[in-house]
Amino acid sequence: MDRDKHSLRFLSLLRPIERDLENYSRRMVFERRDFEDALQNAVLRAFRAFDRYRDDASFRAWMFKILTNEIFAINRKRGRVAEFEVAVEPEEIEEFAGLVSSSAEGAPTWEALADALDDGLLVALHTLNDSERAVLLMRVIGELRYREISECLGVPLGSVMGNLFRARQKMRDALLRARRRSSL
Amino acid sequence: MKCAEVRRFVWLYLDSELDSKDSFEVEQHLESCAECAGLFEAEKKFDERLSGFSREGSRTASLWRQIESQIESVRPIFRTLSVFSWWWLAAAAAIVLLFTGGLVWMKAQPFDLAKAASECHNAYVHRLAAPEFTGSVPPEIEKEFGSELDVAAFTYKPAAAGFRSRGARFCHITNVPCALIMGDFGKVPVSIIVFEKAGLAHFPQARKRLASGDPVVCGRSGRYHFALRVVDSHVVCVVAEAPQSVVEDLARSVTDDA
Repeated sequence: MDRDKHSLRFLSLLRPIERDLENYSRRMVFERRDFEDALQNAVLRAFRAFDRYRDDASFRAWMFKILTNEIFAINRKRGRVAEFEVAVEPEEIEEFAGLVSSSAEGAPTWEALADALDDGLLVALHTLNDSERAVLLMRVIGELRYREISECLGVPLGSVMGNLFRARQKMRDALLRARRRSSL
Repeated sequence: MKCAEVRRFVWLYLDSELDSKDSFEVEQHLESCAECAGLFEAEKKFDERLSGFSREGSRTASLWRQIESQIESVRPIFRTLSVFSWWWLAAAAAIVLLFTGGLVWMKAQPFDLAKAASECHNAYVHRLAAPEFTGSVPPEIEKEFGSELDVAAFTYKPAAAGFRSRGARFCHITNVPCALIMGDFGKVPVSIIVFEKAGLAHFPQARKRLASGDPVVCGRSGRYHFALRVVDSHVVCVVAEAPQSVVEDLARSVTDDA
């Protein structure tokens, strides 16, 4: 295939999912500044391997797989994956929610409440381990099917469902905790 | 379907992972069960919230411009490595591999004199060849072989302490008349093969290495190490099943005992 057509075709498939890839990368990396490197490396890697991409496969799933591998490698390089999992204490989640109830007027505004809940979610997201976080975000950001996630991560379908269930459970607990504290 | 069964399916249903039959049954149940419908609705809202939160970041235009420009810079490499180029690349790699493999194989091969000297030493080690005399060359041997080899060739021996001579004999290596001096260094059998420099004509590889300027040429043939040097008008080759440094030191210490 002509090289111009080759890159144009790649870009035409990439552009509709750029935002999702960026959000996924932001939420997955341990160090915030790494998200750009992860994205750049993954996209270039994908472009170099684009000859091997099969038309019948989901480009979205294929890109998420490459990006996930890149992010795992970067997180591993940081050597702090284990710390990442325990870096945020439950008290910190409550602290975010507590910010709302301790506002000067006493009663939280809707915007403040929403911010607090999002902060709670953000912190809760960081309490998930790499696998739980990847599975959850591939589902909610990538909108990938269970089977696609299973192929991306190279794990059985049952593990995907188990990780997804646990991740949602943790996120829901964090959200409820934040909501409870903010309504005090 | 009963409530408990339907609730087990809540996430499979919301994630559209149920087959059409189960999905239809869940919907039927939800229409008739307000409690389950409420639970499903709550989970759905939670999922929407989670999804909204996770996807709220906007696309960073400058970052994607930069990435796309990098894709452009990758293109020339692609062009170079088109399908046909991959064949050329593979062919070139094969040639390099063959060439390198050939060089490695050639380097691993012992050179001409080393191989012949090792066979000679092997005969001594396995007692297939024994010394014919000790001390100076007997007159009858000198009479028989003196025209082929200068008897001074038998006077060389290592000065290194620990070397003990067991005797010597006249022999031919690749038609080159040689003095084969047999001895031990400690308990290790050592052969010292001496021939006139003119004999190097039969060993072009050995001659080339000696001509390269190394005072002592070392190498290995099978389990034997050898060291080769020119002393006066003779070539002296020491062979033993000993570390290279030991054999080299022995060769360096060889002197004309006469």
